[in-house]
Amino acid sequence: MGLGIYLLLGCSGKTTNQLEEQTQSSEDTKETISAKDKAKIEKMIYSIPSPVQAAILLEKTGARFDNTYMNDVSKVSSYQTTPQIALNIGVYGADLAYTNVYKKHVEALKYFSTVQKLGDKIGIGYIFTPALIKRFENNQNNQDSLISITTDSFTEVHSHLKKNQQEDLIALMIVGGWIEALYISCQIWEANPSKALATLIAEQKFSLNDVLEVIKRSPKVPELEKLKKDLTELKAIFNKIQATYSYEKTELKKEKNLAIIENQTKLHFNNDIIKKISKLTEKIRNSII
Amino acid sequence: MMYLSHNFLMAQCDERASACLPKLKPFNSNGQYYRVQLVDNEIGKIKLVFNSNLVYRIASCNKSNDGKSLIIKIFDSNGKQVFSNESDTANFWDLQFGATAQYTIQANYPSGNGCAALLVGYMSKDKYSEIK
Repeated sequence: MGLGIYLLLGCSGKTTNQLEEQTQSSEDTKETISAKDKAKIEKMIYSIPSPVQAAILLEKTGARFDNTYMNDVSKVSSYQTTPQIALNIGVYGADLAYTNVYKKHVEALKYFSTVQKLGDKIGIGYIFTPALIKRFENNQNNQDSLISITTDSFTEVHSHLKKNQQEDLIALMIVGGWIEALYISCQIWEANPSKALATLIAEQKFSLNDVLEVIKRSPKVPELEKLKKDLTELKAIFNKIQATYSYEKTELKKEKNLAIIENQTKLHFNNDIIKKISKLTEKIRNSII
Repeated sequence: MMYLSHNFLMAQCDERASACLPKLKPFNSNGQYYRVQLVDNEIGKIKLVFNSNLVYRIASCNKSNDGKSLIIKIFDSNGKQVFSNESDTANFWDLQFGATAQYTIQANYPSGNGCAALLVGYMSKDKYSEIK
């Protein structure tokens, strides 16, 4: 699962170490960064699985829909500062993805409008035009269309923010969405534990590293600094999950343009670890909403 | 001046990626345009978690200024190469994974310069079995 929709920076170069070094120094001298350096740091990209992807994987575990875990739309007017708004666009975006995938169309429309309302407050509401909302309404029985409209809208949001050099807001949305999706999974697992869902939660170990990279490479704002601290604490719990990996030769089916990469990863964890992840995730999520 | 030039090139790169979206169909886009300007054998890298319950499509959207296709390689977390399109630089490749893990996609042009634009889409394994 994982969250947020987007990307991150990086660097050019010959070795990963060199790249990381360059990126670190560029963070420290952000104001004086040259165009040439800026071009270089865009060559490594960290990607977070989208909220829609997260919700699809959640549904695949057999988890049932429960609307009590989503952030209440009535709270929308309480978000006033730009960082709060960005974080909760991420949160509501994850809720929207959750309703879409579970075909809860009335609720999906409610969350779509909520994202638009919040977007208005930071100059991105124009993306959610009346025509787009109408399209969303008209496609209530077409899950693929709803998912496509949601994904395209968020891609546009991120593109707008990137053009305006508001990478801190992108990072806040990513974190908000990632935490909300993890929170929903954890809550469902608490109410109805299953091995499949516990595994899905444990797999967030991989995404969390990328979320932290996104924060690390974003402009330093107090809200992201706090989240970095919280997520580093969460990472310490995830680090208790051991992963064993075995390589298998990839099978190429050229006639289908298909590669089957049969590597195996086994995650070793127990319910106690998942409970700890759940508890801390709830605390972080409640500090956001 | 250089900054404007960089922005201009990236805008062009964005357009290429956006125009490439139909190549992903019927997969859902993961919502990102991965694009970067590559000069003098530079390498672009993307860190990505691939999930074993989904099938992914990687679509390459551009060529270098001397007409070469993008070489795409995928490495596991130990740095071992698990995929390369060097023998067949088709417009897209579909990828299935035996286990969820983080991988690094590496992209470069064998010669020349240009915008490297990649898109990644996904769909459930069940749905993929139905369409293939």
